[in-house]
Amino acid sequence: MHGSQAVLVLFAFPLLAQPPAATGEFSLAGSVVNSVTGEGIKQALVWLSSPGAAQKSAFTDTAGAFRFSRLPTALYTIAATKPHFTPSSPQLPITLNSSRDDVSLPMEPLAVIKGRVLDFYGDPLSGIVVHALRPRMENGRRRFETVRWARSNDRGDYRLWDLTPGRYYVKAVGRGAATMMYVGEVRPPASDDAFAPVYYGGGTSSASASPLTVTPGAEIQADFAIELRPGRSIVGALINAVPYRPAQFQLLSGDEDIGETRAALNAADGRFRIHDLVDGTYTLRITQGEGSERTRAVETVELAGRDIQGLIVRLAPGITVKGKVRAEGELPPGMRGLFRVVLSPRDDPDSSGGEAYSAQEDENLEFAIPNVLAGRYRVSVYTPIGYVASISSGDRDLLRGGELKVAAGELPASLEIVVRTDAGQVTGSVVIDGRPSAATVVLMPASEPERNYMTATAGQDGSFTFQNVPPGDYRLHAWKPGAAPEFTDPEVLRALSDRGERLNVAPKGTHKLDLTAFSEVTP
Amino acid sequence: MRPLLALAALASALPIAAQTYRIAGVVVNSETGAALDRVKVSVSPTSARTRPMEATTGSNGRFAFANLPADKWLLTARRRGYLDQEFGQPASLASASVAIVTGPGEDTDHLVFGIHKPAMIAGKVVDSSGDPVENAFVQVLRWAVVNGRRQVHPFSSGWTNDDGAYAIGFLPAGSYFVAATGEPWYGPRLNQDRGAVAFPPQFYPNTPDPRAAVPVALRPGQEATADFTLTPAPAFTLTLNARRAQSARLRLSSEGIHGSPIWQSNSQEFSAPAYSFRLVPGRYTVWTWGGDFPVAATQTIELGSSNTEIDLAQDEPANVEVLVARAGMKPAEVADLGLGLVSEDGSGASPRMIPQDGALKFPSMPPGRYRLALIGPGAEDAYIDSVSAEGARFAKDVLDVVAGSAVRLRVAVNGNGGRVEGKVYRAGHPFPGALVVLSGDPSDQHGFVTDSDGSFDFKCVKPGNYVIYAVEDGSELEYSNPANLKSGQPVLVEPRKSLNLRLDLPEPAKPREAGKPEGRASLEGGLRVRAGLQTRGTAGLKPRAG
Repeated sequence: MHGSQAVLVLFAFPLLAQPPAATGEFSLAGSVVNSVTGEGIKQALVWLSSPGAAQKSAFTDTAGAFRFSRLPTALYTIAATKPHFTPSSPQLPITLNSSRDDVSLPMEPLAVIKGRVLDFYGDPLSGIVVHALRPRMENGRRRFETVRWARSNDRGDYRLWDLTPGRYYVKAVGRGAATMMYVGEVRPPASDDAFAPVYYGGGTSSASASPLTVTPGAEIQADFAIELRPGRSIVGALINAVPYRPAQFQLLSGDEDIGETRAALNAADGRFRIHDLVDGTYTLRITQGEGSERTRAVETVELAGRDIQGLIVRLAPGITVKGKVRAEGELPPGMRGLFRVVLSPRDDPDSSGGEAYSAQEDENLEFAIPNVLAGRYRVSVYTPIGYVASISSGDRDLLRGGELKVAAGELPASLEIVVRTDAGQVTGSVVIDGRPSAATVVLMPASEPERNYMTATAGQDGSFTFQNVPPGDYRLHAWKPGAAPEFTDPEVLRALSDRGERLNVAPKGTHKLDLTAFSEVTP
Repeated sequence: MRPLLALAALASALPIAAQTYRIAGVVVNSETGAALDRVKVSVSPTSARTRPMEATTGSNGRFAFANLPADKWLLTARRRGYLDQEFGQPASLASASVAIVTGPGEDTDHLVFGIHKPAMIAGKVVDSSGDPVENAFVQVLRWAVVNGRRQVHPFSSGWTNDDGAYAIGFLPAGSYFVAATGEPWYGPRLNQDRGAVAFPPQFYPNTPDPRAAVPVALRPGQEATADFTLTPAPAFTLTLNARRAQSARLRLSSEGIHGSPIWQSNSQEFSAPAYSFRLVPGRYTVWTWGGDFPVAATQTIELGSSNTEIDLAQDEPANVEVLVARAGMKPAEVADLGLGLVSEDGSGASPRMIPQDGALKFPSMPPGRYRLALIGPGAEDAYIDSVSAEGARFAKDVLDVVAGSAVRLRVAVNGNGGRVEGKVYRAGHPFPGALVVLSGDPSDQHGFVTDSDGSFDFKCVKPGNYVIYAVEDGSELEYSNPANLKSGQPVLVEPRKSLNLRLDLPEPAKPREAGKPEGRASLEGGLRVRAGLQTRGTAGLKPRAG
């Protein structure tokens, strides 16, 4: 009934035509309530809007009640806002032709994860950076996204608030830090204790961590007892550093975010010291300067039981990565900008902000990407006219998991990219129990599905399209939005091998296929 | 006789084993006197602080460093839950440390190193309806001596969480003013017809009047509560425009306690063409930096009872080139010498090591008033003899740099200074930890906290007339105040000549209460060390540590 009323009201709107008068005889009242406890929410701000009239606002009283008076007959929408609650969605329009005092605006409280960080002696640890992470699927892999972070205070307490319901991983990442510059002789900070990042529950990696399930309005305690170890240092010197120019030191450890790096750099002569480290293998990345003047050094360092002394690191400017695209098949005549080549950094976890480079081809189908700094990169090619059959650099196959390694001062072999234009197209609908369904749709080739899969999103009408599909055998899978498994995982792939719909994509073929079931899989 | 003679000859031919000494003692909680375990104690010669030796105390709090040569040593302690500190620093940490002198007749084997637990100020910030104010900015400020004058300075700060709670810890003992600023969460959302509102700054004990602010006194380890209620008041819009810049960071301060700035909540990202703040009427300073602003800049604005729009100042940076000529210095001293331009408010320095050819560049300097300072290990062995400037005014040791200027400085640095050394006594006993001030003209002030044997040593002082005096507690000494010179004695410093002086402190007015811990370092065995206080951040007072 509500739905049809709303439609009627909306259609009735043009009949009202004139903006309503500024004042009238009716009142509109109600309350803003906590959807979990049912209690009124005090001091919430309630909005009343009506087309053609100025918006009105009112605060709720201590019981959560609000009232708008002297309202003329009109169509209104009403909503409420209050910190630490999910904003109430605008209610269905209310046609006011008599006073009402029964409007209820439920708001869902957001949640808190809090805790205390102590060492094994029970002493509080201050300045520890704690992240609340949520898993999300990206390119078939489970990645962790930092939703909120906080630093423990001098009592060791931290608090992460305004969390929406869901599963969270909580991780003590490290101490807040930065690269400090100095001149002359400074006394280095005394060797400090260090710890390896640890998840709540004791896991040292996301795979071994226990997630917390957060419900609306929950306040969850998650304490840490951190095992401190003697901190190790890396002492060395930067070659080619520009004196007094700021530099950034970063230590990276695969996909795990290990927090900021504590380093001190002598601005005059380039000597440096990185401290408070635990044993492990790291990628040390040092970047100096801004824009095209940036220089970088990348080294793999291994700390095993003692400090590293005398590490010499050479900064070098970026290089120009060149390459050529070869098209197998016909290209649209006279068109340029058909290929975009992108280098995406592989060293960085989500939060460290690695930088991608890109370029497009010239009239000879050649491209040049300038100022690419040292690092490991994944090479991708985006084109509307076909699919990428191969990417290579010298004898390295970069399409099938290979990486482009850019080293200081060394020009990598030219990138050779082959694009074919005999791609097919797959369209269809996801129709579950006779109704169109929104879904994540994945097209998995029989050969190397973990690398060559394609994904599409089916909207509320269930329809999906895959363009530029390389010819071959495939299986087509669908999952509810957000429910796709980590389908690059070998176990998941095995479980999927007899599920989904099979199809063969022919060269330049057009295929239509409806999916009537989600691919159930329990990895 | 022969064998004896032979033995005597042999003995004289052998090298005499160098005499060695110990630095040893116990680390205790300065308030309770309890011995502390797990304290990392380090010791390094004051002339080579980068290579400390380290020991960790056991359950009896004891530490020992043996086989040390005669020298001056810096002793430091670190323990989780305590302030990092150097031997002899008072609970306020508002002073340099006392160097420990090892040598014949010096008892350095019975040290009591009292370390201080940090204090904390915590509380809650709510609005007039009792709701927590999230992201309120809480500042603690305390007295400090800057350029020889006592001023209230920001010391630490923190933000409130979703519950309106804040906790500002790691505070040394002392007296702190506390101020809170914030924004009503509903401020940006309210209708035009309700008018803008903002929270005026509030000062402990919850007053909007900075003159009525009362400091919170904290002993080591004490936790004080300072709650605030922020009350919304009618506000007006201050709109800041930039003519050329596309982006910058902005922060506003209002007048606080005894002229110190009180910061408004968070810094803001300016994005062209304008940024607006809602503020109660008053005088504000806008601080601009970053983005594509050429230099950091400040400007003061009066906001009355109406909306106001102003253009942001966009000064061009200055470029300062310096040519340093050195005389009377050894090669090693020359290599270890740097020069800094220290802004007169003490807020920043741009140090550079001086290369062989003496040519230095300070590009992109914000306009302002700067003092020159020698830095680095070689700074003890040199003084600035003369400065001449083109493109800027240099007077009374202050370089006045204007926007967009090209400044050329010629700086003569000289190693042929005189030496002023001696000991401070009280009641006939050497007195460690006193502050000795060697005062030339107002811009030429030197300070030295006496070592454990009561000695002081100003090594390379510009020749000329000075007044020297000592005070027991120099933590808040207004050394630029001429009144302090009355108790001093005049000295003439001559090139390459040394003066050896004895300074006597007057007897204390009141004897100390027996048995009451002072939170200061002491020596077991009768020789008591009082920590001399040399205030941190004393731009202009040239510290000389042993």
